[in-house]
Amino acid sequence: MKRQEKPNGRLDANGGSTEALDARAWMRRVADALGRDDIEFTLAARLAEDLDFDSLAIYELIVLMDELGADVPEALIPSLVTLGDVYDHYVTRTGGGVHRG
Amino acid sequence: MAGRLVGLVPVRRDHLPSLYTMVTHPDTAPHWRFRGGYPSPEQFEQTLWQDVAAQFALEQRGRCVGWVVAYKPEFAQGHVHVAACSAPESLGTGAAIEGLGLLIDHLWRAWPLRKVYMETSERSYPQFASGEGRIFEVEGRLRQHEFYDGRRWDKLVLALYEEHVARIRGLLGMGGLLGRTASSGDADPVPRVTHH
Repeated sequence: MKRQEKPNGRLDANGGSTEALDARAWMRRVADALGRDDIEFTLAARLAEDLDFDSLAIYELIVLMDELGADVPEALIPSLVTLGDVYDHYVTRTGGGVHRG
Repeated sequence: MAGRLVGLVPVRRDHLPSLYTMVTHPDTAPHWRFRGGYPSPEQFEQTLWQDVAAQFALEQRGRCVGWVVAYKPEFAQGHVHVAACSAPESLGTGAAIEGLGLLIDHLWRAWPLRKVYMETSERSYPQFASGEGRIFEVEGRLRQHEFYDGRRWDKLVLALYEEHVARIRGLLGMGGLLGRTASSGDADPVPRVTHH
């Protein structure tokens, strides 16, 4: 099986370029992608304990970050404890300049 | 066959020590083929291909981090079982989930399957329960079926149909998550560790 080539940079839903999302917009994107609009996300929320992210949800989050231009090296995954940890990685990988808000 | 995290490679002799370590890990041994027994390396090797249709080691940069197996094939009926396990250090990283997704994609391409089964205990189920209804259906529950860790647990039989396989392929990079909204409830992911 050949993976779909990933275009460079950040993409919007239509595959076009976009600026890095602020924290609120990023969390909304995560909630939508994971079908978790039933709860309010905060950057302090712990992925497993507070948001009930299971291994499948963690993998979906990794895929989404990849698609947003912030691929997550597998060695980093265990250190991502809170949603804020993931957002910080996203900001770092996408060039920074966005505050948590 | 490769994904974001792992590649699937045919099981080779040099993988066997890693695979043996996985199936004798205390978290895995109760669920795998020997159901809590600890086979000798020789016994393990002798049974490695029993009732197996296909199996692959999961590799990350040449390191074996997991194992996926398709077993108990009934091609006349169009189904097969799948199972996966992770190296202890790769638990919770998504490696086994991705490997299982890649295996299922391969099986669906290789054989005219109608569905794929996974068996899991109710104890392991919370690791991937978020996929219920999207990535798989729960088709059976055998109550108090398995004993380990001092108590009896239900065994769950999960099933994946063509629509689930399409969502798995989306998550593996043939579609992805962008553009999916909660309201659409469409386009996505993969299941996780069940045990042979």
